[in-house]
Amino acid sequence: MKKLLLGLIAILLSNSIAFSAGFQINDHSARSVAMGFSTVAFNPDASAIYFNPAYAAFQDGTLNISAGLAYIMPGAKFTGPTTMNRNYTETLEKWNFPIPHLFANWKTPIDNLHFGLGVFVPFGLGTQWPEDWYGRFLAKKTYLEAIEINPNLAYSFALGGMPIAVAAGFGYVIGAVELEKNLSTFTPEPVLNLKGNGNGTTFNFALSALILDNLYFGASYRHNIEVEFEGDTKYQNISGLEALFQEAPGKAKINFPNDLRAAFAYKISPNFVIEAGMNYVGWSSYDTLKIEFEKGPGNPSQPYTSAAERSYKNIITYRLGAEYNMDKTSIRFGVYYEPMPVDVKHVEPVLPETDRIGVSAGLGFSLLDNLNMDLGYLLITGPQTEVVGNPNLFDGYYNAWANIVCLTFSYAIK
Amino acid sequence: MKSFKNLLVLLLVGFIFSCEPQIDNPVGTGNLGDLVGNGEKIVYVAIGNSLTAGYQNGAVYASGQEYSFPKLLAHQLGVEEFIQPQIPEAGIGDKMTFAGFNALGRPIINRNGITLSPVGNANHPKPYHNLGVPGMIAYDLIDESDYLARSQQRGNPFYSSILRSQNLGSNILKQAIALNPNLITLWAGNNDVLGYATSGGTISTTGMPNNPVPTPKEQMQQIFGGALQLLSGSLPKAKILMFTIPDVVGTPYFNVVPWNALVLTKQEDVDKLNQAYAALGFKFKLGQNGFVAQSPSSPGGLKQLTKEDKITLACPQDSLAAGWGSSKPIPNQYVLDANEIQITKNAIAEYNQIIKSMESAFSGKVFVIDMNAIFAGILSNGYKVPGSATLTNAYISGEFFSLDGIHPSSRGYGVVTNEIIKYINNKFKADIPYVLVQNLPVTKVSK
Repeated sequence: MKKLLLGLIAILLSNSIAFSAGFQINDHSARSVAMGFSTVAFNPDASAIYFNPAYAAFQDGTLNISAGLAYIMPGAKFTGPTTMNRNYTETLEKWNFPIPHLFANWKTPIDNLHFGLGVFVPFGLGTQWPEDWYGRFLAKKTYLEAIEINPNLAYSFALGGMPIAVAAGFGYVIGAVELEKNLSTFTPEPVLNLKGNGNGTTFNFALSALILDNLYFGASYRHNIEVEFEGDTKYQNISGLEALFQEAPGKAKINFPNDLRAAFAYKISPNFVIEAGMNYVGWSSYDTLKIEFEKGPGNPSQPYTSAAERSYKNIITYRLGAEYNMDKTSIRFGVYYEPMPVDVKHVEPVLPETDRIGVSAGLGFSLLDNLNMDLGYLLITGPQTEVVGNPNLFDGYYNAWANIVCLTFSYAIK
Repeated sequence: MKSFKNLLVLLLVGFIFSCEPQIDNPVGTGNLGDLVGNGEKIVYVAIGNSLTAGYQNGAVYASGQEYSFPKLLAHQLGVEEFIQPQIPEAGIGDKMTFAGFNALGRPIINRNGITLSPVGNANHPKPYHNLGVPGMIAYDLIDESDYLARSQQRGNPFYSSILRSQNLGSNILKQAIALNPNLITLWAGNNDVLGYATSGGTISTTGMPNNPVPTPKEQMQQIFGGALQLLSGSLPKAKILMFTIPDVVGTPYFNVVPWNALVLTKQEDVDKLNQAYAALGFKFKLGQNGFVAQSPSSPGGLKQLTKEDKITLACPQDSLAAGWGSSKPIPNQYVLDANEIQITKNAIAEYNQIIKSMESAFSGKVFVIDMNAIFAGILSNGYKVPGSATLTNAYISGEFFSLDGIHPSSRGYGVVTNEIIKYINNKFKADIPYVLVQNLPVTKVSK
């Protein structure tokens, strides 16, 4: 078990992680994936550390551990630019992402106090367009990952007879970014690559209440994370052009959005629970993407700052999930609607956005008394996005989708 | 229960593999609208000069011709057969290549020297669809003199290389008519003023009888009127797209070498020059000064340049660095002074007025696209390419012009093509897709 966990942490910290499309990642538990992330008010496994750490104070057992892997298979297409040619369609290169998760919830010797630890990937993005595609001057390869280590304390008490729990946590975030695009002025085209690393901190708190025997309420807030990436700009295909393009340090700042989710869960029968909730994400933090070059591309004698207007906006996602428990098996379904977090005219190939509809299903198996295995599948699709009036004149049609499978093992020490 | 579970797993697996959404892509039609008659195929012939031939970087050569605007336009229109003269990569002309930047950030431009490659498909039994003859002046539209003799007389190999034989048509218009086209582009008259301008106002329009400077507007009126009479009379169903002449003064050719790069750092040099040119009233100071250049129309045949004057790209920069423009004046052929600029601009304005008048004179047959206005827009505001750079008239970095500073690059020709398509789409209710400009090559780095 210990080996397995260490192995998972090693994968988690390695450089091979990320995902596309509105770059928040929620896929930190197979049960939650199967229920469209409707696991805020009621969450019996240790992934509550992410979805609602206050609920961790209600969990039985001395130590609950959940560990697993989500495999994200995103895809996107662009047709256009329609200002020039409506027949031209490009598809993102196939790039799939294994996203591990690890949670532990420990009932401390102090009454009603739980200590939880989560290691997960709250944000990530990876898009790779074909080498020679038409939008290569805007984006060719984009990669972004943020790994969070998140300790929490959760405490439960009764208020007027109603069991309540509160939690607070701290997050340390390690990030990596890579941006690559072509420069247009010469044949062969110079390629600009910016790679950097950074870190940041954040905090979170949560509330959980057992309003009635069969009615649960949960709310969880995660603060935004400001990460300043520092790295290097490098170039390819610059033979003869060395006077214009010189490798030098570069910086980029990304403010990952805050997140507030709240939900009610209702047990229709002891075996059947449904949950409905709302999820606010403060994407307006991603209003501009500013990159500072110590030596300007094309004019290395001066520093240069590029500020791309992203115009992201805050959104609310609506979620609904259900779980039915049989003898040793559970079946789960979920659905959600997540609006596009950006003004439609600002959708860019870096991140092909659409409104998103998530439909999910999954199974849970009780393998041993204290060992569960959960499987979840989520399909994200959405209507085609039609971009008109893009500031880069890059008007066109985006389609985006993702298939996500997730496997989690949960182990409980009574 | 067990079979229910298996069914669920099966459903789940099926779900996963069936879930790549269908994409609803709108389709560009390529519909030709009213450009040609219902069910007719386009037969397209391009008549013109270097701009039609695909001339760039100082020469015509295969990889440049590939991106001539007529070739690009024919492709977008879905024209089945569009034959261009096959000029080898070595080219005809004095091809310029770019070898990168030196340590000071100045471009290193190499010239291949004059080459005269034989045309690969010289035996093609019909006239070429691309009848772009670099150096051609308006008078060549109607000139029926022997092509070889004309080439020799004018020192221009393109008459005999492209028009080849009087048997294919005794002048360029008759060669076009022989192909029985229903679509013609005609872009001529540029060289009637360009030769004057690029030579700093020292050379008149070669080939015109009596060598006037530039070609007088009365003659232009006569030539264009007669040419269009012949074309529209012989080809009653053809649509003739005629273009105005862009103002050449805004091109990099006249805007790379600054007029005031005479930098004086020592007071004794300043005093010496002030003394030497005292009689002409030229003033020098420490720092930047206007160069001194030959100017036959100025008192004493010399002029100290102001921001109204232009030095051409042909002016050897080494010579400037070695002291031209101070005690030794810059030769006249490298300077287009304010007076000569005015003559150039006036001529272009007059020619364009004549070209525009042809639309009403040949109503429903001749359609004028104002390339001058389009180029003027590029020169003043740049041309924003979707998803990429804004093309400008900056040398090399502007992407629009080739190394010779006058002719567009492949990308520049792509923009010209798109402006023609834009006109066709609007005027003839067509739906032709545009050229993806940034997929065309630009300044090639050849080390």
